[in-house]
Amino acid sequence: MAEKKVLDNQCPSCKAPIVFDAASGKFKCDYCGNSYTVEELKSAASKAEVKTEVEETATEDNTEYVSFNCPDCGAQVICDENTAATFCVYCGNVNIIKSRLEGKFAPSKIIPFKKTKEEAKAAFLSLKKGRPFLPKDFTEEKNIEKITGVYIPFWLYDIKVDGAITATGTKVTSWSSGDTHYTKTDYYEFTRDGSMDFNMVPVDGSTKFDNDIMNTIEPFDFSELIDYNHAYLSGFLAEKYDVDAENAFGDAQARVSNSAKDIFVGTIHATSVVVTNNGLVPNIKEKHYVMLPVYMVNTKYQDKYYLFAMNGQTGEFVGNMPIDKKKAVLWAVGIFALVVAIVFIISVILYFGGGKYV
Amino acid sequence: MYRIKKLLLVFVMMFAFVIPVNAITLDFNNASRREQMTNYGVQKDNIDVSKAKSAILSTPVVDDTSLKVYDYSDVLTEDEEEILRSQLREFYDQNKVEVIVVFGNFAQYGDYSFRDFAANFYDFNGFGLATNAYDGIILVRDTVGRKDVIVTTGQTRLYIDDYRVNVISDSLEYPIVNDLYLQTGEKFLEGVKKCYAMGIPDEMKKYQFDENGDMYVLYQPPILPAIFLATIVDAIIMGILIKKNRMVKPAKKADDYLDKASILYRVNDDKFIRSHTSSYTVSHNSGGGGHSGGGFRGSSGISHGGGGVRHR
Repeated sequence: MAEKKVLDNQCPSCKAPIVFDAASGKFKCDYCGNSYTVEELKSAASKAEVKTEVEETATEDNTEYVSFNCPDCGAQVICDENTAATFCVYCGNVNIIKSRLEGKFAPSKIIPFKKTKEEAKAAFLSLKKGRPFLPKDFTEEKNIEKITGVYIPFWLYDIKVDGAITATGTKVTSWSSGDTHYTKTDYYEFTRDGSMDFNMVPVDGSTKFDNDIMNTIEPFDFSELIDYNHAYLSGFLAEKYDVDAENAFGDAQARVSNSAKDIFVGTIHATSVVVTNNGLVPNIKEKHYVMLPVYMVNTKYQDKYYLFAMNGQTGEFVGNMPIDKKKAVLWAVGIFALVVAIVFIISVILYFGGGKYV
Repeated sequence: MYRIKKLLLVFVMMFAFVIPVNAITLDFNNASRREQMTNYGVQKDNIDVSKAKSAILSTPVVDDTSLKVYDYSDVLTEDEEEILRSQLREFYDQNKVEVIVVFGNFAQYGDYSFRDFAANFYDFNGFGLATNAYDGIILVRDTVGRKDVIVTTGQTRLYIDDYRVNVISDSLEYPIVNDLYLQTGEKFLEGVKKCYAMGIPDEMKKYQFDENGDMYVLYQPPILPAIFLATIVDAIIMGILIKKNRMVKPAKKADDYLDKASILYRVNDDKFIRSHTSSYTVSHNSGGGGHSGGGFRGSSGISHGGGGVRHR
């Protein structure tokens, strides 16, 4: 049996479970109403750590699953090897597996949740505004309740891009003289050499979360990064990274290379430009492992799952929504008929308004 | 005897100069006559004589519209005039379509005023009264200035559009150039008959005449343009609305994370390789052929068709 430490945030006053309140930025007890800063909780939490025996279980997918007893109700809680914080399905208590966030898996920084779950629900409900093809039952109450706050592991890279690009291009001028039109094409070879820095380029470090969705909820305001403390995970799920910094760097590398190339090409003033050699090389100056707040909701509609994510700091809500085909067809037919009707009405007005005479 | 011969000589000299002078120049001093006439001699209801008074007063009075041939230059003999007249009358009796031929000295007119003169001659005299739109066609030949014009009115514009007018005008080339005036008139009538036998060209079937004799285009619902425009607008709007349901965009760039102050350019080189210049000349093609429903409005306000003035 392996021993894993589970941190259970308790109210220093009444010992009830205490969670992080995004609205106030403090830890609030729903039972006695007291609220505490992280420092106050730290000193109290060090005395409240609970050691619990856990068991390890291997699955057929070679994924390590861990089971332990909930310190609050004693029920058995099971989670996978990358889960760092989870809920007890019986009593709803949040259990933070502190040992999963130690050593190389210890985040250096965190952005605590700024948006509440209610704000996330409101954002989800507001999706239907201006989206006539969204199915009516998509924003039902049963889907909204599934909104969950999760701390996603991210790698932040400080990158220096250095090198040169060469390109060929043309500058075209044209003019007329009488009935003759002239076109002059000048051919050039362009060379740009230099460097530039990119700071805090984020790449999510978990294979569980879709990279495109994580990219779309950017940007985060990294000026609000603070030192990591387990206490901030209270009330939320959390994952540790399963994609290390070297493997995750590929995404960041591609993004900064594209940006750097475009910046250099932007200094070329020509009618057409073709890059013939891209010698720009991105190198990591520094990397940071951080936890960033995201609300997730996974909705099922017509046997298909739709994942939505909201930036827990800025409130940016993204996701691909299903299209009600019947509504779409009705709209298409309606728009078509309306435009045809308008064209006919205008033609009749112009005709009988005097446009018919020759 | 000497006195008789002298008188005879004076008499002959009078005819030698006076009559030819009358034959060469038209007496347009019809204003005084028209001012004595009801409505200045204009019999067509849809002409506002107050607006066209000056044009009316300067248009010759035709006392007998049944003559059809008006030879102010005396280029036709009496017999030739009668031959042509009977043919034109026969066509009129059968079709109620005026075919008018005028020969005279109109050298003082430029092209536009010459065309307007032809239209005014037809409008301000009693031609075409048998039909609602005053259907008819007139050929005016300037025997001194050597130019001619054809003007159409009313339903005749549908049967003889501008294209067919040009075809008829082309067919008159030989007799006109060679001063064969009877042949000119007969060729002219022949062309008109052919056009009526062929019927209204397809391109002209979209036109009609109202109760005032004004030509208008029949209403044709813009089906194809409406479908085309509706398809484009529909595609654009549907594209925008569907795109709203697709919020996830893969990030290709990292512009938000660029430290602009860190950008350093070590080499910024544009190397000229070569140059190439090409050119083309636009040719202006006036085009030709094609049927046209367009026309012009005479001083009377009535719309006419016809070809351009021919100088030959």
